[in-house]
Amino acid sequence: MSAETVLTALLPEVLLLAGLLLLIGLEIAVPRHRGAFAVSLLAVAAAAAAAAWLSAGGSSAAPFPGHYSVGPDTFAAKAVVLALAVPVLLLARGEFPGGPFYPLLVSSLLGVCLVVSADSFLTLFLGVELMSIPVYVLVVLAFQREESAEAALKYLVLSGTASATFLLGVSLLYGGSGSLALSAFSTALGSRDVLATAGVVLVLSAFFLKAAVVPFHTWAPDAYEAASVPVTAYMAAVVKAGVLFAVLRLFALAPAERPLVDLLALLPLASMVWGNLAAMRQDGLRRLIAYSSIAHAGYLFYAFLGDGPGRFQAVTFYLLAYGLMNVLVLAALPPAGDDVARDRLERLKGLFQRQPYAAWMIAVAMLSLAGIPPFPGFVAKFLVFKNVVAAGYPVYAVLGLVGSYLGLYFYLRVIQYLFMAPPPPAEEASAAEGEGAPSRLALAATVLCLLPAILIALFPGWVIDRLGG
Amino acid sequence: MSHLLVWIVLLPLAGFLFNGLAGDRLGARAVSLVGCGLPIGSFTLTVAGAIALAAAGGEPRVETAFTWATVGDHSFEVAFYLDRLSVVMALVVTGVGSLIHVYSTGYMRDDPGYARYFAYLNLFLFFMLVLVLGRSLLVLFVGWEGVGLASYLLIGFWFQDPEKARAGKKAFITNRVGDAGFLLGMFVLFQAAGTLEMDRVNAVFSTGAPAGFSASLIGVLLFVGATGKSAQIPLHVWLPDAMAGPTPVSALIHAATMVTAGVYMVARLSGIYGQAPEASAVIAAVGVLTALFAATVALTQNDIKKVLAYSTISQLGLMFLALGVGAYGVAVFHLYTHAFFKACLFLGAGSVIHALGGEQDIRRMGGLARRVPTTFATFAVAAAAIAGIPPLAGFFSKDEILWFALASRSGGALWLWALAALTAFLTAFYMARLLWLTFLAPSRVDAETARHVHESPRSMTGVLIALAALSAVGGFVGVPHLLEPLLPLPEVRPGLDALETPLVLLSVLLAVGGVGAAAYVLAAGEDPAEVFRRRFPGLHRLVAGKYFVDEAYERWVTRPLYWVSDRVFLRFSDRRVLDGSLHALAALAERSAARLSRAQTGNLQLYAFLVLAGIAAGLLWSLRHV
Repeated sequence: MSAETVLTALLPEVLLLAGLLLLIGLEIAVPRHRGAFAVSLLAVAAAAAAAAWLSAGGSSAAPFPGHYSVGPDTFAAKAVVLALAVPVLLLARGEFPGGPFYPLLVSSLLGVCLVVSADSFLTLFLGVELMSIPVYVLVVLAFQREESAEAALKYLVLSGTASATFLLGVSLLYGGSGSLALSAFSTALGSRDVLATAGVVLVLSAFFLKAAVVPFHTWAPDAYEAASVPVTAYMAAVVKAGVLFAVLRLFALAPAERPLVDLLALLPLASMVWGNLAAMRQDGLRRLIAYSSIAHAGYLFYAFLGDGPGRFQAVTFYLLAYGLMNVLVLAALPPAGDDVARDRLERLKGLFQRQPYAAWMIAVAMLSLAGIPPFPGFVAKFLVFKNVVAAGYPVYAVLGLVGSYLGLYFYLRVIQYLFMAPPPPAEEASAAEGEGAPSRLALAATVLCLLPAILIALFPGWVIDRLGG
Repeated sequence: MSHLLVWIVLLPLAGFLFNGLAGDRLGARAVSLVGCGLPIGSFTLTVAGAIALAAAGGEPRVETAFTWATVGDHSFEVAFYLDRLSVVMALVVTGVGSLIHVYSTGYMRDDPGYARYFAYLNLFLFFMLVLVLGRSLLVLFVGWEGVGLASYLLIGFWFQDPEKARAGKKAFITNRVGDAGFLLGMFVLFQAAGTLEMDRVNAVFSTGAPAGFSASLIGVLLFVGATGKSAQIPLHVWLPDAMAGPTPVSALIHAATMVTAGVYMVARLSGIYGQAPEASAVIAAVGVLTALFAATVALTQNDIKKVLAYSTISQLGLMFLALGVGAYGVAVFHLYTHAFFKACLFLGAGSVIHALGGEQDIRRMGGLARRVPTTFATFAVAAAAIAGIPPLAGFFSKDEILWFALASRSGGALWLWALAALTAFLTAFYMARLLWLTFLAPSRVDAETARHVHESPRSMTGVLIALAALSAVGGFVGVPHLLEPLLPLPEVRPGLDALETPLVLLSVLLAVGGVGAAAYVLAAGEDPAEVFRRRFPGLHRLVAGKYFVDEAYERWVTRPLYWVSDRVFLRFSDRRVLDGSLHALAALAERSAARLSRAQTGNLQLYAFLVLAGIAAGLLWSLRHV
């Protein structure tokens, strides 16, 4: 295989890596962190464009056979993830003028790209760790607040548990099959062997933990809340996508069979119910997003009940719609004097009178997350539940839909705050004082989220075709 | 141009977007330029389309814009269709539409909502063209609902006045009733024909209705929709109230184009109605009764726009009569001539209202002939046209309707002819009264207003002259003949051929007689409506009260519905049963939410325990079920 083919196949990663090296060099050589934002934005955008271009070109290759391969699907997935990172970066500019944020984010993205292309457990593990470890630090970066360190530690410990569980499961699978190829997992899915089944359950539990599925979700609300806004957006949109793509790689085209089906249905179902119910009581927006993301992890894993090709489509589409909407909410959130105040749902009361654009954006995102037509979230949920029904689990589909209706309550409550509630009089002055107009970059981020959202709402068929599967 | 039809439809939409989004900022000049220029562009393209169609010998032109949805084996395409029928409609819509846009630049000049007005008017034109050019009934329905929306927005254009906002709502709700029937008809039709593309539907029905389906049921259901949109009994009540909108809107939407959508739809689906004698009989009966009913009400009205509104209902009734007896081409002919003279009448009325500073009551008008000569002259031509004075446009189309009402082999009957002839007589009568009281009778305008009376600006009078000219000569275009390859005229009942010439003479006599009778009373210096009131107080009360249809609806429909919705649905079902159970559920959810949040203690040991317990439980479950 020629060097050129390898380089083309690795083009997004190469671009990210070049950006990363440049960032590190800048950090050492240039005082006061100039240029870090521009370099990382450029690297990520270029990598996203490269991935999209390669996906459209339909190229596929295996530069490291047995460990790493690419195809139109993987390029599409990379394009989705990297494109989601662009508005996140725009958000970060105000919060982090420079410093470790940018290299950490880019290296985490590199991990996501690795995960998406992984063919063996080794690459997958490398990718997952490369993706997660920078995030622990990213959480801690909001160290103006004391909870940050605590939450980051919890995340680290529980994520470590996940890694350990994953490795234990992989070693069981390896012991049974003698192979480190990811196909060992999909083969074991259909096996009746005790060790193989245990391996599958352990690996799956690890990813449940990473994706915050009940009862492995406990780290998420704390971590999401403690992190600063762009980091929350990154975790909700990109890291979740990375984890789900890893699971997609693992399952490949293999159908889920009993008894795994029940695990794949019941825990996600519990996630939907738990996430949606617990979200009702939250008064902080990031905590609300965290519980909502727990529920959404449930819907995403539900898609694995369906058959192979439909599964890839449904999950990718869902991640795109859901990621865009999460970033949109956080981008439209008006800035405030301090981070804690910015987060409080109370502050959204009567926002429509003060900042109609921001209010509309948050409302659109909430309606989409709730899955109300014609917003993109509806099509995404529709695809998932359609697959579940088509695979022959109508009961689970109905239960899932009921679970998702619980979520309406808190999404609509946000909208009620935005449009119908007058701001509390005593706080009106302080709210108006701390609350500036969103920065130009944040506005750009909302536009970057909104335009593709409109596109996928209007032409879902076209988008699904582009996402392959 | 390969996308001619798409462009015809899209130009007004571009106008709507431009005027709606940027109009307020760019000033009245840009708004007028875009708001009038794009409809005129559409008209030009339509003319080009018509020429191409003529060159192609009437071969329909189909353009598929995009595939909207594919459900199972059926794909629903947004396609446009230009044939002999839709080209006539499109020419009327864009032609009269453009004229009225131009007129509006004068009429609405000082309105603060100038840009909004043109945005809505362009939006209306867009939907109307979708309706007319749509190949599928589904696309037609999109346009059908869209023109309803635009009409609602324009009736309630001066929404600060609650009366006008209410009129907009009334139009919308009344149309909903009709649309329910229309939708049901569409469902049954789709079941029967397997397609909603109207040329294919007609082809399916050309050999009789598909087994197991009644063409008459489909026909009647669709006709229910038409009664709403085209203001036929019993859903006519919204149109007189719709006069609350600006007068050019009344001319465009509530006289020339939108209200004729029902007529167009029935003509478009003539394949179905040809197989549905029962539905056709219903249409003819409803049409002729509406025509007569509205003509009698028009006799007694004193608001210049209300007279014209009832006259529109009446003329639409005549069109439906023609449809009901199978003379589809004749109905379209009358639709076409009516668009000219009724638009001219409404715009003339607008000019009068403009001159009098908003006065609409003909009892406080008079003597305007010399003050606003152009308006008077054009109004007189159009009034003569609607009255059926030869050789003006209305004479030809009305005469053909009367002839086929009697002579058509598919449903013609003496009683239909008699009622239609009576309507024609009354039409001539009330138009003469309107013309006399407005322009010729001694002035009853108060001195203050009289001093300000002025002829309208050239943008308005020019349009009036154009429409009056069309009302005068439009009848010489043999529309039924043009449409004949598509919509053949019905056969004549045997033995009636000899009657044709006497009947033409008779209909001239009716028109002249109507005018003469009115002149006889008016010359004595009396308002015929007054005479009527004195002689037959009871009957007059009934007619002037519009047969109390509104009151009957209020009493027998609205109030019971209100009672049911208040007592049964709101107080019992909603508040007690639904809210009660929902509140209970919500309380349950709240309580479980509280309990779940309590699990989120922030205690890492607890979290780790949950994780390990989860893994253990997962393993246990799976291994027990291997």
